[in-house]
Amino acid sequence: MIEENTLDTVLVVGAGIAGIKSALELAETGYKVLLTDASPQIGGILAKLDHQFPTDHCGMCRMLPLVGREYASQHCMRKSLFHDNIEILPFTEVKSVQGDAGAYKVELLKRARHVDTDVCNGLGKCIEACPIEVPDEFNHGLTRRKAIYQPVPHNVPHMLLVDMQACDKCGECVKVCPVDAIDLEAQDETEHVEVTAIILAAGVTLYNLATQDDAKAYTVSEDVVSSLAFERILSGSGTYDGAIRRPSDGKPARRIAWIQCMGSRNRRQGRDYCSSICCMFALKEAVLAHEKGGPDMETTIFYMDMRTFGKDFYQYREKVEEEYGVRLVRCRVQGVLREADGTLLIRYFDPASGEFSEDNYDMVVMSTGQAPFEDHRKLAGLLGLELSPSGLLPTMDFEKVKLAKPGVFICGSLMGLTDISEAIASGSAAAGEVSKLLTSINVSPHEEEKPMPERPVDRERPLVLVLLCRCKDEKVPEGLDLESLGSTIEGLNVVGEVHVVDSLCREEGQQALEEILGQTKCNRLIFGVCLPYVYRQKFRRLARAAGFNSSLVEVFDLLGIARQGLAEAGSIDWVSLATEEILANVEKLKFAEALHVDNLPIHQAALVVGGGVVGMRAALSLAERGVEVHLMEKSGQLGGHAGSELHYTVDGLDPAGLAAELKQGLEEQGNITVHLNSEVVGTKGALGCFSTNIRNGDRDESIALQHGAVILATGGQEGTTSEYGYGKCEHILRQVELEKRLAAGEIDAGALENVVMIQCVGSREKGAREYCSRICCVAALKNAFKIREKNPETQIYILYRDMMTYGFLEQYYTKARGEGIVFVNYDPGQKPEVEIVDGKPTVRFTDPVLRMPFEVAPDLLVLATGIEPNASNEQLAQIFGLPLNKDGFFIEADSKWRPVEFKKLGIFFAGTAHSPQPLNEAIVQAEAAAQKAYAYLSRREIQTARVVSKVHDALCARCQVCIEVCPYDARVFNSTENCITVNVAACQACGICAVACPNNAAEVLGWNEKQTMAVIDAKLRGIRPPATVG
Amino acid sequence: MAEFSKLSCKKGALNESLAGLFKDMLEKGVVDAVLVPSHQPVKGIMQTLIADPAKLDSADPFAPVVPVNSAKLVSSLTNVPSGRPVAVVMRSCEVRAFLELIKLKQASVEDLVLIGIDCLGRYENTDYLKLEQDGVTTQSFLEAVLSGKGTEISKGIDVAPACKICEYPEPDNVDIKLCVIGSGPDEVYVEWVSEKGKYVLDKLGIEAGDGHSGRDEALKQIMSERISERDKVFTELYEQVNTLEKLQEHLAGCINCYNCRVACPVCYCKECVFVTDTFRHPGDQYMSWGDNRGAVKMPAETLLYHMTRMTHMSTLCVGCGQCTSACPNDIPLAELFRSIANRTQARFDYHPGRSLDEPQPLAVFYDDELVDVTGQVK
Amino acid sequence: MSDEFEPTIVAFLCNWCTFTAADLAGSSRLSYPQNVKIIRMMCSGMVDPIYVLKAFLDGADGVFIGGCWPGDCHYINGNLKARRRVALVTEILKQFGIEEDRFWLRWVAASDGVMFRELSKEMTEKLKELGPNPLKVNKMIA
Repeated sequence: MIEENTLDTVLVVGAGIAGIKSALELAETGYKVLLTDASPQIGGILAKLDHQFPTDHCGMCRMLPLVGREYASQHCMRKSLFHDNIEILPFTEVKSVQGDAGAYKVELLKRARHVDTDVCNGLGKCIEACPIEVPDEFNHGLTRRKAIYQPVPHNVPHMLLVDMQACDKCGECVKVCPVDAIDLEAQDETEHVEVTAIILAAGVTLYNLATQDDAKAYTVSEDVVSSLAFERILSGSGTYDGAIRRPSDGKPARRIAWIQCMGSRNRRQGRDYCSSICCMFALKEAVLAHEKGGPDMETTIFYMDMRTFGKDFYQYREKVEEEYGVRLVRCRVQGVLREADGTLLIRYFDPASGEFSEDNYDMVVMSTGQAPFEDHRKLAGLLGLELSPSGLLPTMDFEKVKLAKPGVFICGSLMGLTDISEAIASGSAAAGEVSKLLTSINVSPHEEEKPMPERPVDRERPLVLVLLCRCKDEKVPEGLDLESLGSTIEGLNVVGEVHVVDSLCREEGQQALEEILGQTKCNRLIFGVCLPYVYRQKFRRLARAAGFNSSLVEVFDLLGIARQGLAEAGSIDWVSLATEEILANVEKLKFAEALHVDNLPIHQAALVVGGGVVGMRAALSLAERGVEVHLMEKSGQLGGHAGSELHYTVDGLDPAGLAAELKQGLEEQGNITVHLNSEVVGTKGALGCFSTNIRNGDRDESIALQHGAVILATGGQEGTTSEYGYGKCEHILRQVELEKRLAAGEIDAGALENVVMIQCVGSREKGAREYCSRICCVAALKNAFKIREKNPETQIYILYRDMMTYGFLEQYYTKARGEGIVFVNYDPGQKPEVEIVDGKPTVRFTDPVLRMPFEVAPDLLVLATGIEPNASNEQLAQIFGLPLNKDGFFIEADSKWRPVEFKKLGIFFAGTAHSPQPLNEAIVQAEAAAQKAYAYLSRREIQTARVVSKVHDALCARCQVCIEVCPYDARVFNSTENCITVNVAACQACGICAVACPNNAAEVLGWNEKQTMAVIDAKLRGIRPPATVG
Repeated sequence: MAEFSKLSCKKGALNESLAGLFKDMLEKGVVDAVLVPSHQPVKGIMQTLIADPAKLDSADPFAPVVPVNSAKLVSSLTNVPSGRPVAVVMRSCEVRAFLELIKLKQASVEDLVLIGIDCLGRYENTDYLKLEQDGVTTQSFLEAVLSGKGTEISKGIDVAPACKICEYPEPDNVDIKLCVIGSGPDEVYVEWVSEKGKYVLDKLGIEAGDGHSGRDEALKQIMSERISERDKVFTELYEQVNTLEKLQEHLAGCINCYNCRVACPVCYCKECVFVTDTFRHPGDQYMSWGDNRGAVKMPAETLLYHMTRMTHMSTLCVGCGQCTSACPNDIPLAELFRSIANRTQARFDYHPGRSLDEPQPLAVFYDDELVDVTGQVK
Repeated sequence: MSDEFEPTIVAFLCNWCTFTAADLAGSSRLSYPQNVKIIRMMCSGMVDPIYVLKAFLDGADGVFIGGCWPGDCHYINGNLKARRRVALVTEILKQFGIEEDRFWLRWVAASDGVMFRELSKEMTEKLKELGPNPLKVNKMIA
C-alpha cells in the first residue's frame, strides 16, 4: 500500500462522501492519500441513507473511478471502499499540525478499537456473548446494540469495536473470540505523518433533538423522530425491515407529519442559517412513506419556505404534490401535543382557511437541520483558524474550497451546508486545488505501475493451482476439514496442485506462497481465503509479482461459505459446498485468457467552450497544471455575464473585478489560446482524442483543434417577460437592469419612496420557466440593500413565493427583515396585479397573514425574471451528442454522484450550463470539471482496464445493435473501415453489448459466454438432472 | 393514394404481359435490372437477376414456389449498395423479412423498386418440380385456387403448411403491387402505392384507373380462412408442446444441422453462435456431463439451440416456413416458431415488417414499462 | 414428495446491489436457503437469456435474477434492458411448462439483505409447491 511519508501524500480529514470523493479524485490522478475519520467507520451521514432523491434509492457506487478501475474496489461503496492509493484510517483524529503548504507534519491519534480488525473473522460470537446492551446510534436508538458491536451493520470487512463507555470489561467477548482479536486494554496510539496538503472534509452532524432545549416543545413522545431516524425506519436494514411503524408501540403509522426548520433558521438559538437539505429530505421521505405505506398513507409537511432551489428540485416538489398527494402547509408549528390515545396533535394557523386548525398524526418527523460538530473548534484551532459564528470554517470570498491557511483546503458541508451533488463537486474541486498546489511545487503524480513481466501461458493447457488458507484452526468452522477438501478437489479435472497454507494473509503465509508460486507448473490460481473484499486486490498483486496475470487469478470467500452455513445449524456438508465453489472457479479459469491493459494515448489538451468566469476559471486551472488549453468564446470579449452584467454581490464582492482578474491570469498563462467570436461547428473522436472544428465569425475561417477533453461553460442570461406591464413603462425594470443603473448611478435613490419587487416572474410555472433559478431571491436582497444604502427611507416590498436564501444566505434575509424591508408571500393562484396609471405602475396584492388587500404605487417595480440557459446549448448538444433537459440545461451523468460529468466520457460542464447558480458555487463546479478533466489529461496515456468489451470482427454482422444499447457511447461504427470499434477507456464492461449480440461477436473479456455456461454447469453439477442436455 | 392499372393480357398470357411490364421498365431506363422468379434452363424456378430484356421471357412472378426467401437474396444485392436501380419481385413474407433486415443494417432499400405480388401459397421445392412435370402451370394454379378449388391441386400435394396459416396474402410496404386476387390470372391489376411507384407509373406512361371491385371481398375471404386455420394450428400446437418433454418429442428428429437457421431470412448472423467456439466444447466438458447425468444425448444441446433461437429471432419471425422446408427430417418447425413468435411478438406489440419506423423489441427499452415483470413498487 | 424435495435455484446477482445484499444476508447471519446457487454478474443486464435456458435445461428448478432498482443501475440502465429480456424469455418458458414462478427478476437494493433472504425463501417455498423441474420428473432420454 503506502510507503511511509511519501513526498506526495495528501491528508483528507473526514471520510464522508465529500472526503471520499476528494480522496478518490486524488488517487485517480495518481497521488497517495491518507483518509481519516473521527468516527469508527466511513461514509458519514450517507452510511445511514438507503434512499436519495431523485431515484429514491442509492447510487453511491457511481462515484467510483471510471478509469483505472483496476486500482479501486468494484463493489457497493456502502459496504466498503478500497483503492491502491488510499489508506483509510477510521477512528483517527488530528492531534497537531506543524509546517507549511507542501510539507505539513501531522500527528494523528488512532483511537483504540480494542478489536484487531485484520484478525477478526466477523463471526460475531463476541457480540452474542456480550451481556451489555445500549441504544444503537446507527438506528438512532430505535434498536439496541451490544458494548462490542459493528457501527455500520452492512460494512465488510467487519469493523467491530468495543464501546468503552458501555463496556464493564467482564471479558466474556475475549473468552469466546476464536482468534484472540480482542484486547480490552488496548491504548490509543499516535502516528506522525508528513503530508504535502490537507483537505478538511469533517462535515457536519445533524441537530440533536435529545439534547437541545428548543426541541422540548415537540419531542413529547417516542413517535416524534428526527428525519434521519425516519430514514432508518424506512431502511430495509433498519428498525422494522423497512415497514413504517411508530416506535412507541410498533403499530403501522398511517398519518405522518413533517415539521421543517427544526434547529435551523433560528436566530435566537444562534442558528441564523438554513440547513439547505431538509426540504428535499422531507419531500423524499414523504414519497417513500407513500410508496412503502400503501394507499391509505396520509402525509403533511409544515414548512416556512419550501426551498426547492436545486436543479429539478421544484419539478420534484410538483410531482410530490400532484402524484402522491403530499400536503404542504406554510406555517410555523409552535408545538406538538400527545393525545390520550397516543396520537400526536399539531395545532397550526392554516393560511388556506385563515384560521387555526389542528390534525392528529401517528408520527411526527422533525426535519432536523445540519449543525457543526463540537470538534470543529479544535480542528480550526490546530490550524490557527477562527470559526465562523455558525461554528463552521469561513472560506474565502469567491473561493468556497480555500482557507486562509495555504495548503489547507475544505469541502463538503464544513464549508457551508451542502447536498450530495455539491459535496461531490466540492470534493473534486478541493482535490483540484491540491493538485494545482502540488504541481506548483513540482510534486508529480505517481506513474501507474508498469505491468509486471508475465509468464506466457496462452499456449499451455489450463492447469489450476488451488491455495486454501488456514489461519488459526479455530477460525475455520467445525466440519470444514481443509485436508479432506483438498483431497476431494485434487481429483478435479485441470486442477494441478492443491496447497493448504497457514495464514496466507500474514508474512509467514506469504513466504510459503512465494515458494509455491516459484516452482509450480500451474498457470492459473485460485485462492480460498476469508474476506475477498479485503484480500482480492492483495492476492492478485502477490500473484502478479510472481508473474501471474490477474485475469488468471480468482479469489473466493472460503469462510463466507462457512459463515453462511453456520447459521443453518450444521445441516450443511461443507466439503461439497466448498467443492462446488472451487469447481465453479476452476471452470471460470479454465476458459479464461490472459488479459492485458491497453494504453490509451491522450492528447494532453482541453477545449473549454465559453469565456465567462466559469470557462476562464476552468481554463486557468488546467493551464496552471501544464495542460494546453483552447478557450472559445462566442462573443468578441471574455468575461461573460459576471464581467458585464454583475456589479456587486450580496456579500459585497466584486464580480467584474473577479472577471478582470481571471482575464489577466489568462494573459499571463503561456499555454492558453483564446478564440473569440468562435463557435463549434463539428467534432469527432472520443475521450483522449477529440478533433473539433471551430469557426471564427470575423475572419470566417475554420480550424481543427486536437484535444483530449472538453469542458462546456456556456452560461446563461436573465430571462425576459411580458408580465406585470414590463416594457410598457420606464418604471418597470428587471433586477439585472436595476443593478446596472444603480451601479452606474443612473438612479436617484433619494427620490425613491416606494419600491416593489416581484419574485418568480415567469418562473416555477407550467408553460413558463418551470424551474427555480436559485439566485433571484438573493439578487433582490442585494439590490434592496443597495437602495437602502443610498436612501434608508425607501420603503421596499418584496413579493415572493418561497425565499430561497439557503445556507448562510439566510442571514441576509434576516437582516433585510430587521431593516424593515417588507416581505409579502403570494400564491401563484393569486398573483399580484399591476396596472399602469399615468405612466406609473400600481401594484395590488393580498397580505396572506392579515388577509387584507394592499395597493402600492411604487417609483420602481422590479421583476425577478429568472435565468435562462444559453441558446447555443442546443447546437452543442447536437454536435457532441449530449442530452438537454426540457428547460435547455445539460443533463449530467448522475445528478448526485457525477454532477459535472456527462455519460459520454471526456466531456464535462460547469456553471449555468448545468443550472443557475451563484458565482462561488459555479467556481466550485469549474474547478471540479477541470479536475475531472485533469485526471485524464495529466498523462500521455492512460491504462485501461483489463476487463473491457471487444469485437470479434470475423463474426460481426455490423448490425450495430451493440452501439444502440451501449450506455457509454463506447462503441462506434467506423464506416471507412466498415467495422465496429470500442473505446476501451469509455467502456465499463457492463456486458449489455454482449447480450444484445446474438452470436457473441461482442464479448466482455473475462466474462465470456463459455465461462459463464461452464460455471452454471459447475453450480448444478451436484443435482443430477435428467440425461439430456436438451 | 393507391391507383390501379389493369394489365391488358389475353387469356393464358399472364407471364407475357408481366414480362412486358418489366421489359418496359428496363427499356425506359426505370431500372437496370429486375429480380424476378424465373424458369431455369432445365427445370425449376429461381429468383433471377435479369438485365437483358430479351431474357425476361422466362420470368414467372406468380409461380407457386419460393426456393429461398428473397429477403436474403435482396440483402446480398443491397448490403453494399450498387447505386443502380433494381426492381425486385417479392411476396409478403419476403418483404416483411426484408424490412427487418434493413433495420438490422443488413440491406438497404434506396436503389430498389419493390414489387409485391399476391400470394396464394407456395409448394415445397420437390413438390413443385413434380407439379411442373405433371404440366401444372402458374396459370392453371391461379385459376384453380382462385376459383375456389383449393390448393391441393394434385393428389397429396398441397402448399406449405406455413402458407395455409399466413394472414398476408397481399404484400404491404412495397411500391407496386401485382394483384390477381379478386380478378384472376387473365385480369392482373397493377397497384401503384408509393411515391416511387407513382414515379414508375409516370415513366412508363401508364394510365391509372380503378381496381377490381371484387378484390376486397376476395381478400377478406382468403384471410378469414387462413386466420381460422392459423388459430386452429396455434391451439393445437400450444397443446402439443406444453412441456419441455413434449418439445423434445416435437424436435425428436433434429440432428443439429442448423439448416433451419440457414434458411431463416431473419437469422442474420454471419456465423451462428452454435457453430462458433462458444459451443465447441473440450472433451472433458462432455465427459463431466456424462458423469453428472449418467448419459448425454449427442449431438448435444439441441433444445438449447432451438430455444435460444427463439429468444434471438422469434420477435422477428415472419412465418415464411422456410425452416420447415429446409429441415432434412421433416420437423414441423414453422408451426412451432410461429406459435412462439405469436406470443413473444404480442408481448411487445411488435409485428415484423409492419413499419420501418418501429424499433425492434430487443434494440430498445423504456423506463416505465413491463412493471409486471418484477411486480415490485418501491 | 415435496417434503423431501429441496429445489435448486440458480441466482444471477448484480455485483453492485443484489450480490451485496446476499453477501450481507450471509454475513449478518440472516442466512438464505442453501437451495440458492449464486453466480455473480457485473450487472443484471449482463445475464444472457441463454444462461437462463441452460440453467433450466441443466435441471435447475428455478432461476433468479437480482438487479438494482430502476434508476440505481451502476451502468445507468442495464437493469431496464434485463427487464425486457426477462419478459421475452418468460413468454417462451411459459409455453413449455416452465411456470412463471420458476423464473424471477427482482430488484434488491444493496442494503436490503433482509429482502434478499425473504425473496429466496419465498421462491424456495413456491418451488416446493410447484415441485421439481419437469425435466427431472420425467426421466426421458433424448
